[in-house]
Amino acid sequence: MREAQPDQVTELAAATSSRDPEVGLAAVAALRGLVDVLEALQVENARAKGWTWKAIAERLAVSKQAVHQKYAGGRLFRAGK
Amino acid sequence: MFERLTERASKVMCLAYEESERLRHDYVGPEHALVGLAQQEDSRAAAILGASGLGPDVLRAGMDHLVAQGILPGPWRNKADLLQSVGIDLASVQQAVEESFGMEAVLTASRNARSRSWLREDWIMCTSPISPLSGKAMLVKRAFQLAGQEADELGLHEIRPEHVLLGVLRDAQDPVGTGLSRRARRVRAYLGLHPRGPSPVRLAIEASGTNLAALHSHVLADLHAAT
Repeated sequence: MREAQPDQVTELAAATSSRDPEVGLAAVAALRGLVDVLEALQVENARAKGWTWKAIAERLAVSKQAVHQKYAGGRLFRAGK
Repeated sequence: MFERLTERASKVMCLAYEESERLRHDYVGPEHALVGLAQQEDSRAAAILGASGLGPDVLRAGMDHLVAQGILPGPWRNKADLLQSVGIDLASVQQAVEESFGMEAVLTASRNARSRSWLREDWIMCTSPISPLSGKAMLVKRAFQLAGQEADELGLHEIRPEHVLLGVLRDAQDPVGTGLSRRARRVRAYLGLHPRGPSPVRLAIEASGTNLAALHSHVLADLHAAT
């Protein structure tokens, strides 16, 4: 049975990332996904600490409307969650 | 339909998750669920699969073969390895955010960021502690919906592992991508899965000389005989 060796895989990915678009583009998308989760985590934390949407938007370097539309309205962070 | 799963049927999801981990995949699909079903101890579904020459070892080898053929994604196509390729150690990020915010908050953020309200903690936690940051796409919904229909047809509310097997087998009778939205197709493509063609479950089962539809009828007949 073939088992993937994590070290080999990592080396392979690292070695090919700069040249192979297949890996490079997928890596960018993975990065974007990570950023989305980190943003949600930080916004939720800021709201819990009483930050206004305006203040959050300023730190994220986006418009107040953008951050409000994305995170407000009870769709995402419901009370008690 | 996930809330209708019995405890043992939920455990199939855990086992499927483990198989996905073994292959270093970033999604849980019906093919992983099939291996999970075959692996479950004291299970009717596993017994039927085993009797048809589809034990866990055979199926795992079948999965490896599908990876080698390029039908299933290769082992580098997962967030941890991709991020490593741009110098980011996901394990470190994970540790840092969990220390600051706690596992529950990270899980919530992950659920919200990906609009996956149905993401269940016990599926993530059932194996080694896996961070929600490396959460997998769930491509088993159709199979589980069909499992629910199979249970309905048998007049049952709860979904047992045998129904999950029926659902997986019925799902595999259609080509991949059946009934999927455009967005879901994009997810499949990103994961390195083929946009069309026969289901990997069908390929794995037929590779060992078993007919898919016949196996489905066999499982159904066995269930009827038991009730």
